[in-house]
Amino acid sequence: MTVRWQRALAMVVIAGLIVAMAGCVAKPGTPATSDRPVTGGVLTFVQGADPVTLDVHRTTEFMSYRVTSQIYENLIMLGTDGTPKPGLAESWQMSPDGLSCTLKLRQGVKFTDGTVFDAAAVQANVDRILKTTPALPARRLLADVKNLEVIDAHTIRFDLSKPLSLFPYYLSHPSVGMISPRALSELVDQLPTTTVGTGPFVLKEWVPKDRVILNRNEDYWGQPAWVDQVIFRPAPEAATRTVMLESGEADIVANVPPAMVSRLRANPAVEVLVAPYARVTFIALNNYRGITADPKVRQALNHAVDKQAILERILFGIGVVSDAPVASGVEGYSRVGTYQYNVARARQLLAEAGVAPGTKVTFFTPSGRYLMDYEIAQAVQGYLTEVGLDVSLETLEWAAFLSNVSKVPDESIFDLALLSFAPGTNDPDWHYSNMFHSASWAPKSNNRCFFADPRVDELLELARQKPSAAERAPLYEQVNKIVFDLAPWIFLHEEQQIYGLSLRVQGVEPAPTEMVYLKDAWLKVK
Amino acid sequence: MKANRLRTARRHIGAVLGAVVLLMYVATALLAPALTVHQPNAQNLMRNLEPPSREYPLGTDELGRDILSRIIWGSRISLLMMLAGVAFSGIIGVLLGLLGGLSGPRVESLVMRAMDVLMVFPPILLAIVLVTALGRGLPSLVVAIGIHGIPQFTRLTRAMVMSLRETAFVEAARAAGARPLEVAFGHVLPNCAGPLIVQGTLVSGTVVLTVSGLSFLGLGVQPPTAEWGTMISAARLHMYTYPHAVMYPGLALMLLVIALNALGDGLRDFLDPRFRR
Repeated sequence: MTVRWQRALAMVVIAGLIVAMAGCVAKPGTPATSDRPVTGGVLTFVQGADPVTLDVHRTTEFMSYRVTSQIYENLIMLGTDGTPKPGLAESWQMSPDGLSCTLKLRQGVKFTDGTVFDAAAVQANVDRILKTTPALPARRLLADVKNLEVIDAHTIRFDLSKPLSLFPYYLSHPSVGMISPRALSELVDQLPTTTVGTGPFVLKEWVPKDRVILNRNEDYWGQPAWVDQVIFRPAPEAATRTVMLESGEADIVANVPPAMVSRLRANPAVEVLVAPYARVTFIALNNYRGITADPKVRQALNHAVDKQAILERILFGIGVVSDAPVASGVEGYSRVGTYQYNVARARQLLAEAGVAPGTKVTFFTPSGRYLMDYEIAQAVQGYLTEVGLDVSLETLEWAAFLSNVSKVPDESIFDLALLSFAPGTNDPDWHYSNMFHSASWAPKSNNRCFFADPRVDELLELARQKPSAAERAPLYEQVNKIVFDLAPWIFLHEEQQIYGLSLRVQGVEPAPTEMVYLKDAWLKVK
Repeated sequence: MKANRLRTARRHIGAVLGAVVLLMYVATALLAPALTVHQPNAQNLMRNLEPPSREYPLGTDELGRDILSRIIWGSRISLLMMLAGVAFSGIIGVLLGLLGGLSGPRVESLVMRAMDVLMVFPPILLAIVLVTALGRGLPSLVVAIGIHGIPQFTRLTRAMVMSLRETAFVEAARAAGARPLEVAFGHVLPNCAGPLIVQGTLVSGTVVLTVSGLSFLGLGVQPPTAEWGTMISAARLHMYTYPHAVMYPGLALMLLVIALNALGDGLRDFLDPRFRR
């Protein structure tokens, strides 16, 4: 080969490289790729932890649910809009008195072991959930079920012991996924690591602390999943997850910290997906004893804190300032308002309530449990110092924190406690009853601020009996107003879910319960 | 002799620089109210994570507080904890060393084996265990940061006592009827002073680091008190986007520890005849 030929070849190679590089940096949406879903590819999903167990009835946390909800399906599924949608049941009907729910089951559905899905399969699952001792975590969702009536092979009716018109939401919780009845009788001890469901994916392999590999269920009853395989990988450090996304090792990363969003947004190879979330973050004030037992003091504390600044400067604007005691995506939400940031007003209210400057209050906060919890708590400490309180901030690890805010009212030791709550089913009753019903006082349940108001109790119980959202709405609206006026919390903000996505990932829409159903996800071919 | 020492000192520029830097830190700590414009805990959230400016010479932290003020006020905590920690380990360590060196072999081996046990634990782990066990607060923090230095003082004191107790002037004191305590504090201890001062300076560097380390882990000084380790811990979340918030407290900490080590090394050369020519 002559020198001239070699030179020409080199030129061609260089030109080729330049073209290839230009191709790599091309912006998304260039016509080279199609917008129609395509089959194939492996999608890697990285989240903070490995699943604890794959036995849905035993699971209690969403990192496991994110995996199991690809394998198991519910009678009713929670849509990405946060309302119940048909799942393994095609339709359902709540009785007008809220005491029973009749479901029509989908026909032609099979579990991956060949077992037919029918009323007997539902019966086997409900029996296991209700009769296993010690109680399975899933039992709390069916706690009000008195009896399951099999009407025919594809029609069933749940009879409830007290009115609960929101029961369909309960059936959509990932914990009540339908497991193959054959597996329930033959493999019950292996269910933490073996799965037999009806869902769009099947378990291929679980290497603990490393990866869970799911393959597409080729015999799925509906439109099969687009991707061939999904791999769930754990990475506890948020910085690690971000780097995995940037290096192409991950296609989706969950729980991106707000501080890293601007960095990801500046990277043209990835995008940030911010999705609504049913979680409200607030500071529970001790309504039972201490200076915060006085509603005037609680209102003063609400005026003392600049929630907008906390949202903008600590959460980098990701989230919404709460204007109701419930997240805006949950049924029952109605805008009530916000306590304006007004230091003078706060000082005046405190003075009227007879709170002397320099009064000591104890403020408990977890660290690393909720989004930016410790930073938010410090900012609130600063704001309360501004209005003359002497705030001692007690930062505790989660278990210690929880035991300190789970004491009976007379032994409670906190004045303020930073907390956050999202109803696992996205239903209003789960939220309101846990937060504000006087029967839910800690340590029994989640009303840790010891809020009690007979009107609220009555309205909540009435709402449970109303069969439609439209009939419940005015009742919850009244609850929102009463709670806002009595200010059992310092209302802060509702969180949003933050995911990092590789540009090739399409069709991902998280539900407000942090579930990401990957059935509709597909990968663009480069 | 005196001229000789001065010449040696001049040769040890490091030690002199270390001393100057340390004095500057002490002066800064004492004059903190006069040196700062902003209150260390005054929070202006809407202006958080600002880069250095005329108003905030080192920028603001994640809650919009002046980083310069917090570093200056933080030096008080660091120096105070350093003094308390060194005093704690020094006093206990020296007393145990005297006890070990001047009493019988049984007591001696008891003391020294106890010191061996203490030295088995990595310093930061020991401190974490102690803070967790004793609860938070300044007294337990002093114990936690000081305990690791005890064996070093004990071993040093004992080694010197063992050579000193055979010397003629100690024997003379004994012969003159001095009581054991008198011998220990009147005759032996003053002759150990040099090396102990060196040791104290070197231990202070470790103590400063341990305080900040514990605070970094959330076990030391509690918010909102300004402390360098706490500042670094809070700012590390924004390390990629706002490096100034983590850099300046880190620099303050680094400079002080380097100064203490340089001073300790220099003092050792200065006081130890073996290093002097």
